[in-house]
Formats: sequence, structure tokens, C-alpha cells
Amino acid sequence: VIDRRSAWSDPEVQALLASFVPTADEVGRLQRDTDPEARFFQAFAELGHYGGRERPTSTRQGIYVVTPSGKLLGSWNTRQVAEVRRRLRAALEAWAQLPEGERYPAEALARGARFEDHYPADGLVLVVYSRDLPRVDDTRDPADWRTHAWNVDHVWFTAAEAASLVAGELDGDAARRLVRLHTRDNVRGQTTPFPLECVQSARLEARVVAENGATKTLELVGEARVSESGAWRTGGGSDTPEATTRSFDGAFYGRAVWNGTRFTSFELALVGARAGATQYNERADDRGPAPMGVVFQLAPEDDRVAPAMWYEYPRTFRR
Amino acid sequence: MSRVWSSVSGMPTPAPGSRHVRRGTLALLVAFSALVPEGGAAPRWQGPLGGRSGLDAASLAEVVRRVVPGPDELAWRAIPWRATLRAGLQDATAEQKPVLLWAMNGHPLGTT
Repeated sequence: VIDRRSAWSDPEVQALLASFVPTADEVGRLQRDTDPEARFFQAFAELGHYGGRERPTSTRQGIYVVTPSGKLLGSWNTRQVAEVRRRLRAALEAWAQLPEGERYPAEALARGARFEDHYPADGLVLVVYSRDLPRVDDTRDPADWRTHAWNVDHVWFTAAEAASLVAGELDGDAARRLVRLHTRDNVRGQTTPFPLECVQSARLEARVVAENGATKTLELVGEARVSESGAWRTGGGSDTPEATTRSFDGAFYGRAVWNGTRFTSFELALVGARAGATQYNERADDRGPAPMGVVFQLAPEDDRVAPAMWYEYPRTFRR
Repeated sequence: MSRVWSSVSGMPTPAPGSRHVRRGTLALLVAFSALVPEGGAAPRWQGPLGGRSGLDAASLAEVVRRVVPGPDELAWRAIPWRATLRAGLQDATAEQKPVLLWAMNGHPLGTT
């Protein structure tokens, strides 16, 4: 989140990026899997800033400049704007000095399987934003980035799941998936989905409030309640897992328009009280309960980023 | 109700423009008052479809305004990011440019 609002928002960095093909991807799959794309990444990442590193983590996250042939031209993991500018210029210089024949591959990368290939073009795809909501007696520091933090994710529904909502109530499995994956408190950082058995209530209903031919305007209402007790390294001054409980209890409200074939408008809010802290979500000193808002909107058609927890999606998506 | 999100009648009155409760938050706080458990017990009330709801069309707009990032927060989206390394490599070959790969734990264009 910090990266998003620092280096990449700088106009000079954005101008420099016109000389590159800017690409973003999830590093865990790339550094772990064995498909051609992952192997390609691993070959140059091991020559980069975290090459060979195992502690404190084995992550290879960061920025890489690489030729289409796989030759590494630069790598770093800083968000300092001046440093990013300098490294971009250095990478461009290295590219300029590279013989033409070394820049491009002899043949295109073999195509491996990715969950993005199962994008439900005929279903419902939403972008999801989460953020803390105002509090009375707010003691948070306005200068602390965490006070203003937000996060983004994606939700995919199959055509059948979307149709179930139009018919009156979102399919139960889809509703439970929605609640498991999108009531988790990721405002300040990542956290795991709620296990299925922790879902106490997951319901999203629709009623028609206006109709014009095949076009229906829907009001969306529902509830989401989850609670999980477990042990997490919450970062509260100790590396020992701490027994604690995290939860969310809230309500949905929204509006949507269905044109008889697909949703042409969709805006849904989920507002409630979240509580608890987990390993990476930066809540050790802010455990609540406190209000959190989640907003679901239609994703642009060119936004095909997979849901963060894509591996929790059922086989019905892997057609 | 808890003190943090007290009921409408019990809600402390903040100074105008206070950073603790700025103008425009009242409607939200009213909505939240129906959501907050007292002593951990889940609240119950009847919504339009017989379920729980503390939101309506007006508070929906307010929640959207507060949660969805503004243009300054989304300036990085002005960059034409390719969403997979595979797509970036294909375009880089076609455009005869190097790839700049932003690789994060969690997709950088999604949850990080």
C-alpha cells in the first residue's frame, strides 16, 4: 500500500516508465511454482537483490528490470523516489548498451496455467476496497499511515452465482465465500481467510425496486458474521503465537442494475465491527472492536487481476 | 451500546471540525450504532428484508465516499500495468522495451 502512494505516484517516475513495459505480479507463485513463467522469473530473481536469501524470509519481492530474453538489468526493493528514479535510469542505460541480439528470446515463453485464465467474463467481477471508518474518541495518530490505510481485492462470481442473486438471494456457497474472504481485516496488511466453519452468518439478498422491460434495479441487503479463535504472531512485541480471537459482524447494503444478461451497475457496502489481530495485518495495537467498511464495485473490464485468495475458489471456476 | 459507537441519544457531541468526529460522520455513526455489540453480544434488529441492516441509500453513498480511494490515492493506476509477467514479456517483445516487474507478496494491483 505504501508503495502505491509513493514511488509510482511520482510524475518523474511515471514519465520514466514510458520506456519500460510496466508489469505487476504476485511473487509467491512466481518464486514457488514450476511452470515456464515461474521458472523464467526464478532464473533472474536469483541474480537480484534477494537472490539466495532465506532469512528473515525467502521472499523475492521487489522491483526487477529484465529483458524479454530474461537478462537482469536491475533489481531493488526500495520505495525511495530518488533512488527509484536513479535505478530506472541505470537500467535504461544497461538496456541501451545491450546488443540487440541479447534483448529478445529465440521463442516466446511457453504458456502455463494461471487462475487469471478462468476470468468469468460472463459472470460478475467486482473490485473491493476496505478501510477503517470514523470512530468516536479516535486515539489513532493522524500522522501514522495506518490511520489512513486502505486495501483492494477482487471478487469473482460465475454467471450462475450472479443469476442467483438476481433471483433473490446469492447462492449459499458463494455467500459464504464472499464473507470468508472479504470480512477479513486486510486494511493495513494481509491476513488469511476465515475458515468455513467460522462463518456464523452469510447472506446477501436482492429485491427488485424498479423494473423496465428486462432491466431490473435491485436493492441488496444482507449480513455477515464470522469469528475465529486461534494463535497468531500478532507482532505485539513478541514472536510467540498469541491465542486470540478475530471477528467481523456487519451488514450489507447496496444497489445494482441487471439488464437481463449482466450487471451494468453494482455498488455494495459492507459495514461492521471488526476485532482482533493476526500476523501481518498490523492490528496488534488496534484490536477493536472498531468500524470497518468494505465497498464492492463493478471492476473495469480490463481489470482481470485474480482475487487474492483465488485458491479458495471452487472448481466451478476452472472450466 | 458501547461508548465507542454510542446510540444517537448518547453520542458525545464533538467540536465542529474535530479530527475525532468530523462533519459528515454523523450519519455513519448513527448507522454504526446499530451494528455494535454491547459486551460482545451480537445486536439484532429488523431490516428491509427481515435481516439486520443499519444502512440505507444515503449512508451507502457516505460509506462509498469514505472507503473508495480518491484520485490522489490511485495515481499509480495511471500507469498501464500489465497484470502478469507473461503479459509483460509478450508486450515487451512487441514494443521492444525492457520489462519493469513489480513483484510483491500479494498482487500489487490487488491485496498487498
